[in-house]
Amino acid sequence: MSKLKLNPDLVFREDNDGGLIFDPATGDVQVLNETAAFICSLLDGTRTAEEIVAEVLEEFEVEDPAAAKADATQFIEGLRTRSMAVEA
Amino acid sequence: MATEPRRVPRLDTIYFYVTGSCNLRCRHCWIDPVTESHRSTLHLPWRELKPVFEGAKALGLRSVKLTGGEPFLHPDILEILADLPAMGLGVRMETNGTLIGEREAKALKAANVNFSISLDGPTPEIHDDLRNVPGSFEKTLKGMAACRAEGLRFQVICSLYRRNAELLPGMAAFAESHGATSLKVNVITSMGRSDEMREHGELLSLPEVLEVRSRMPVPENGFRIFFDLPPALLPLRDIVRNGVGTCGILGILGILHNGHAGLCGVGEHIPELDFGDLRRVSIKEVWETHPTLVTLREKVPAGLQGICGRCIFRNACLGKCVANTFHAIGELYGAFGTCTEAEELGLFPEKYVVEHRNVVA
Repeated sequence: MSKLKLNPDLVFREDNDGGLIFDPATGDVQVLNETAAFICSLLDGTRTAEEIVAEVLEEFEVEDPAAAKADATQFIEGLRTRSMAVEA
Repeated sequence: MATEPRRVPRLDTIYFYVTGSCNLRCRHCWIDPVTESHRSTLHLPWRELKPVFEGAKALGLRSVKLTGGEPFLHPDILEILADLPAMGLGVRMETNGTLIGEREAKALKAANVNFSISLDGPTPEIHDDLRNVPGSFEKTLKGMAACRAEGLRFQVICSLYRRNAELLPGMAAFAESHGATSLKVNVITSMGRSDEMREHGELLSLPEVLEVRSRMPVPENGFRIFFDLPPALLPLRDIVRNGVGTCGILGILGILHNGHAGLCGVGEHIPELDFGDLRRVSIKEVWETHPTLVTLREKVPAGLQGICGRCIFRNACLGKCVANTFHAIGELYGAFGTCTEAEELGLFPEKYVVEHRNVVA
């Protein structure tokens, strides 16, 4: 499986409460909750989508691991579809 | 080569300044209405303005915010509350709550109005001090009780100044106990009557405002707190929870109590932002061709100046409040004063300063 990174044309900002993805070309900013920001922080070209999802499940205490895994996978897929996450 | 005409946005919302009168004398009011206790004399009959709203439907109008002055002073207010939803429009209202009884609460309920009530503290000493009319605290609480009796929930708007700063963190629980589902904190800035408050040291400095905000609770029960600061000066936690909180100025037109169109409500006091009498010129013509609105669409957000032009939230925040900026510096697309001050004081987060590629000179 290919390793993923955040699209280098985008700007990512985060703190303990969440994060932002900024597109300098359009000026659009996407607000990320804590989990989404954590996922984006792992998009550094060293992990596959599966590895990122596994780290999310390790990092956060979740009541329903299957649902959390599906949500994280769907979020990453959404980033890929919109070219916000690309192959490293 | 011919230039493509710029797209005219949907006129999404009208801010309707129903009356130029108010039964309170709030020391911070930026509209500066005439004080009248029972019935407004500064208004137009609804029948004269209703056709304007019908005309606005063709421009995409979806909602109307009723404000004032105090909307319940208008003698036709119940008719207005019945007609707007019948026209398919969503209705919001800002009221001081003092004139809400059973009849008014039933009308709010029937019209499914999303409304807010102003309350500046948990005691009459604080609230009446700012509202400048003895007894207004008790009347506002009675209005809230009338709303609760109809099963209505609402937002409490609290204006922050020096006297209520210490009590503000407790206002969330107080507002909730009186029927509110959320608390909005408006920071009083120097505009309109509040210039005098600034002269007397009653307004907080920006560092003081940020300190108060940092002491606000984080409700876990669904109650929400909106602190009306530019997003760059809010913790990310608030933005994740409440969104960026854009003003939506590119889709808003003000209609003043005298039937004139204006940018928000400031057209009443700033002639350049009075777009003319809507009984004489069509709202379509104003919305599509008024030079100030055309310029606004060209310059906001890509032409915003100063720190606003370099802010990561530029396209969402839209310069926070262009009317306030115009009042302060005479330009619609200048940098918002609070953010400029934050930058000068080293309080503007460096991580939110970015380079935008789409800019307009």
